[in-house]
Amino acid sequence: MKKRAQSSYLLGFLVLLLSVGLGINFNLERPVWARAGDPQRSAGVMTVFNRAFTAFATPAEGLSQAEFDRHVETDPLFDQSHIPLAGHVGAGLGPTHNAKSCASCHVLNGRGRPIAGQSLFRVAMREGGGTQPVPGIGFQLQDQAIYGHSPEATVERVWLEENGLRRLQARLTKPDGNELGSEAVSRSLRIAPPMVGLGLLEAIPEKDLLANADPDDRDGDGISGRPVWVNDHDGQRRLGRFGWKALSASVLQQSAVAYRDDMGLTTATGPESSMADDGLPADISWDELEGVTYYTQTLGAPATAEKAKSSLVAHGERVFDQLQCVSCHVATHRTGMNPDAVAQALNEQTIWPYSDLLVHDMGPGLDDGVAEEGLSLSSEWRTAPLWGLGMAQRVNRKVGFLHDGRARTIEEAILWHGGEADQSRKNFERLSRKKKHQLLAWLDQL
Amino acid sequence: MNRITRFAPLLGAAALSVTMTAACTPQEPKAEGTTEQDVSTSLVNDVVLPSYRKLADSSEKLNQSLQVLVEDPTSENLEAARNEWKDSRKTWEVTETWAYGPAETEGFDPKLDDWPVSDKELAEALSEKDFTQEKFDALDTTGRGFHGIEYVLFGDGEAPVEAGDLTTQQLAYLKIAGANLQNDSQKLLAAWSGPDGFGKADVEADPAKTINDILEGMSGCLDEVANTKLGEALTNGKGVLESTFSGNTGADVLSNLKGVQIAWEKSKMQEFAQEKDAELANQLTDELNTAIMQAKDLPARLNDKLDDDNTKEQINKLMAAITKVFDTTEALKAKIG
Repeated sequence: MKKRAQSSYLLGFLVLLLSVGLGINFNLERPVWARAGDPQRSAGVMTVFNRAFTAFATPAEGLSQAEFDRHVETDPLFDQSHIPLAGHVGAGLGPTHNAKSCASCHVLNGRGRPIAGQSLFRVAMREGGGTQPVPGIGFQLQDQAIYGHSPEATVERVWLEENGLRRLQARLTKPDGNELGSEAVSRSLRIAPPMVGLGLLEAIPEKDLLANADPDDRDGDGISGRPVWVNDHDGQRRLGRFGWKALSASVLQQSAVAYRDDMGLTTATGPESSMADDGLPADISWDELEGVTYYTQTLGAPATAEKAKSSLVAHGERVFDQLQCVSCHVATHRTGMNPDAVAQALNEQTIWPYSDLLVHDMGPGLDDGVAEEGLSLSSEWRTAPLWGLGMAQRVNRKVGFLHDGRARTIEEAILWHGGEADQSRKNFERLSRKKKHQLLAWLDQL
Repeated sequence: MNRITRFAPLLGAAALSVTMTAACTPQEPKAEGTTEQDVSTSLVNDVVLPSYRKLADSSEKLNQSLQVLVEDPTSENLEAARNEWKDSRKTWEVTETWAYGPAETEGFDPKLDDWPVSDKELAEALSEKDFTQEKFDALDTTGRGFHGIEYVLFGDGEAPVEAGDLTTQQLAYLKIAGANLQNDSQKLLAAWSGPDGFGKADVEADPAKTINDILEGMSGCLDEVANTKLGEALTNGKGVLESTFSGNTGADVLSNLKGVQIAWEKSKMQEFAQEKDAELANQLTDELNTAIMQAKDLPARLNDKLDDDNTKEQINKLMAAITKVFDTTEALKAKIG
């Protein structure tokens, strides 16, 4: 009996000493998707280990010296303040516009705030389901103008509070004093999205993204995921990946659209041309367009604050998985192999953007009536990538979340989820305080 | 009872094991020397707030001198306003290292210091019959701030401006632009101040981030001075030089570098770094001093001497010196950031 007790003491002591010594802390088993690699290295070799205010503006790791030099050389194009030009081949900024530089909306390369100068309005006629442009304005309202010109309309923004959430009421007034009434014209505020890992998102093979699509919800899980097909800058039909509605297929196309719609700057039609689509000399040369595209493509994504093996990560991932957030916020992808890639580091990387880049019906709460030329329903939004999420308010303290920045916290953003995400939101609301904290703490360290 | 007795040895072992493990686990050393919180608090209270107070004060003086000039546009008053512009400019340029937070996110940086100047719009606005507040409001930040005032006060760099040349529209512009600059400077100070200001609510509340932010701010400023302000001027000529109208670029550069030095020394960052890697910290201090000494030797009206071979050599040497500081800052960042 005495001998048996001694053995038990010895055994217990050894087991516990060994378990503590080896760091086994009885963590929960991580979901399958979380074991595909190292989620702390969110952008593979392009991961940036910088969680300072420059986290989004730091060149990606893994670039060759020549690639790094080109990134540095093209950086000023993103910051450049455009002005109306005298004696220039093009006319320069405007005459109407939303911003005068890329950086003025993408503040420190992060998201913009829902204020003038860091956001814009997309508009559409309510009749016809938001697929028709507003006469004289189009689909985007230019609310600023160069000297001597009038903006298309002035905007008054009022935030209405209801049940702890806020919603924007925007009053649009044309220069002639007439209001663009909300009963006739839908308006959708859009903040500038963060410039995180865009080159890597572009490098995910189309077939891999389509593998997650289920537009008719054939598997009956309530999640559809619809690809948006658009004509890219070269006329090729490709999968839309960029922007709140996935209306651009490539970084180059997104850059050209931003120059045109946001800054009123025309771009050259190709490398051999100095002319724009309208037959006039372009404001932005092909070299400049390619330059700003290159700069964007060679930005990385910040490493997460916590190591993948930490209990904070294990707990957060588990709640994220249980709520089925991962059905749309697909955690990980693998980029393809393209020998002509602008930077070799873009090739064959396991990345952690937490998005399927497809559009989903997000329900009536997020339906603002603008259907973008019929390419999406007004309630459909591209799954927002979550990498760098926790840095958003560390870079720009007052930024909000969702397409219009209405959510002041990540929790508010979750509470706005409806439509295909309705069940996930309900499940979130039912979580214990502890589990909610686990999820939010994990999201905050992304 | 029996079961408890049977497991007693195991429980006892567990308790002993936990006690022993706890005893053997290295405890967090008690904070000694300079802490992240010390650096964070010092950055806000010894560096940023005093610097923005100086900016607010100097912009008030500049505004007052402009109002005097507007009332009485004599050569003496023009010269006095130009001197106040240069003095105020120093107090702004020195803050570039910590131009994050509200300077970026609330748009104070472009409001005070957008570049290039939108000369086409300014010329158009100033050529009209009257210049009013409404017209000023219609100008973007590229037509306001330090450089908008500079453009009118010093001229476009082609022909020297005399007090008698200033038109009523230009004087009206200076009256409004001076008040606007002062107002924005005060708002920037307010945005950092008080319990809800960026200094207390963000920087001091998140001290772990401060070390990285300071080092990133230093790197960013050094990079901009070496590669943009000086590098682009050597490549593209004086037209691209910021503050080209006043010929003040050399002074801007010196103030930028002094700002890096202030951030390094007065925020306790230097002490913090020295405790982590004295050799690297001392190297950074020495290299920064060398760069500042070289910047002090830049000729007055640098902008007009860019074609001079001696000046080019001076600029190249200064760029190399700044690059050294940049590299050391990056090395330090990799080590302690």
